[in-house]
Amino acid sequence: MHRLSALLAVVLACTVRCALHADDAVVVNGHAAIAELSDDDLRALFLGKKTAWDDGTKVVVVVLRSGPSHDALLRRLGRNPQQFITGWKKLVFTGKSGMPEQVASEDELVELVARTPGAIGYIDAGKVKDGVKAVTVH
Amino acid sequence: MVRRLVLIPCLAAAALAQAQAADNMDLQFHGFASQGYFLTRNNALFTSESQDKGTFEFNEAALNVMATPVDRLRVGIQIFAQDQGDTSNNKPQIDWAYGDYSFPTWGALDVGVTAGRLKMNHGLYNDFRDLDVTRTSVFLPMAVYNPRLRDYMLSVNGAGVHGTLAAGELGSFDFMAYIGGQSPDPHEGTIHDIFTDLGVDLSTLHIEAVDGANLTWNTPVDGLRFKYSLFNVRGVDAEGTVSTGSALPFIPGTTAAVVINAVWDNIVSVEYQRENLTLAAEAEYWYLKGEVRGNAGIPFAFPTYQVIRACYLSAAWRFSPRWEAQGIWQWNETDAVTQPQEKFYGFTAALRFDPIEHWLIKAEYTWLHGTNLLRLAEQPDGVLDPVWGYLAIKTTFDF
Repeated sequence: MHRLSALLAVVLACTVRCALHADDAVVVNGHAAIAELSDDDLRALFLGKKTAWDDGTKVVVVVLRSGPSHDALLRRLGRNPQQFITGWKKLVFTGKSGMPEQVASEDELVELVARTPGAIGYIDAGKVKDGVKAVTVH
Repeated sequence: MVRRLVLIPCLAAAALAQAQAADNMDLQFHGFASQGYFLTRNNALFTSESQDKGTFEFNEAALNVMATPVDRLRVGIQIFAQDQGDTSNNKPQIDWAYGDYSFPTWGALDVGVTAGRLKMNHGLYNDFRDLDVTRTSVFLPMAVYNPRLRDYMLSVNGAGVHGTLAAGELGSFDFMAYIGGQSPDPHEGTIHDIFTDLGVDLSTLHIEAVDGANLTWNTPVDGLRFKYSLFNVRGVDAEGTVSTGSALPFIPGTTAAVVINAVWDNIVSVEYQRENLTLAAEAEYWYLKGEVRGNAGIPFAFPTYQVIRACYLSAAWRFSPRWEAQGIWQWNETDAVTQPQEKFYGFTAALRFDPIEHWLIKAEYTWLHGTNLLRLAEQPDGVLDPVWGYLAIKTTFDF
């Protein structure tokens, strides 16, 4: 009985975790002419390899300092927090990019993406508001 | 010409800094500063004071500014200063200063062009040689990243092209190629030290061209990449006056010269980075050929060469959010006219602690067997011990 409970708990935890993944959203500035991104694009943008959108606008990466959505982004990128920041510092100190904007909350992230042309962020899908739009990643 | 190439982005960055500061536009400043302690056992490295009591002449600092004045164009400059024993002595230098333009994506291809003073992208980590924040150990493995050659491996004044090709199920490919030159100071650095040790007062040093290229395959296996890097140096011309008591069989007061026709350096690299684990291995093959000219009663010249084979294996593991450990095994064999079949190998254990995101403390101990890296003139007792090691402790703050 105890084993069954434990197994159910694991399945439930996994389901919740998967559901959180499914509920994450990549958001860009509402005026951006972008509807979808490839997974490679997502990695290139959040790891600082792609610094301009196709229309020439500078990419401004906005990330959370911590939290479930940020953890989900890092898992998607295959990085731990230290590797993620170190990767950006490599770019900064060789002149290849500036640092991403770091914010404390998802509301703050949405607000910054909404008022910054070229901005992109990764949040809980439930936090998407006017001024930003969620893009499909395939 | 190359000096002008450097000046253009410097002036542009300065002008833009003024213009954009007013508009509070896209301008970023970053920097770092570090201080360390370096102690060697049995031999001295970088300074004779490193042995036994150690030295605090082991620090560096950098400040950079970057701007995006118009879409797709990025300009910036970084000033860097370092003190490493008897070398550099905190003399500020332009680490990089360049403009970089990204073209619109063309199909699966992203391409950019860059000009100015460029970091030499060579091997996995040469760009980050001076950046403590990017690794666990204090030093990169010296077998491949020889600190004696640092001055000539940092930057070139020139132009380059770089990009990424998305290759679907094969992953992606990053590439870079650059052409340029260097203007080293004849009064310091490795070539100066070699001449000084031979009893020659170096007066001129010229490097005609430094060209390089590299290709990285980011495989479909997440975090696994392979890289091949190549550079070629041509037309190195160093000349000086033979002093009394020189180790060379030349007449004091006459001119001695080394002309290096070519240096080829190849590095094959592999890195696997996944979550808390980073594995890396690199193998290097360096080939140099040239000629020594002098006057031993009659003018003469004889050929010279140097072949280096080197490799290392490294594993780093972040075992808690703030702590990371690394182990390195390294090996180097140098074959040259002056040092046939000289080898060294060694092991490193390193530990890094990140109290906060912008501050780190690290320590490493490296045990080495072999004397390739050492300079006899730096040894307090005038003797090279084949078994030696060093302890390096360093703290770095960045913003």
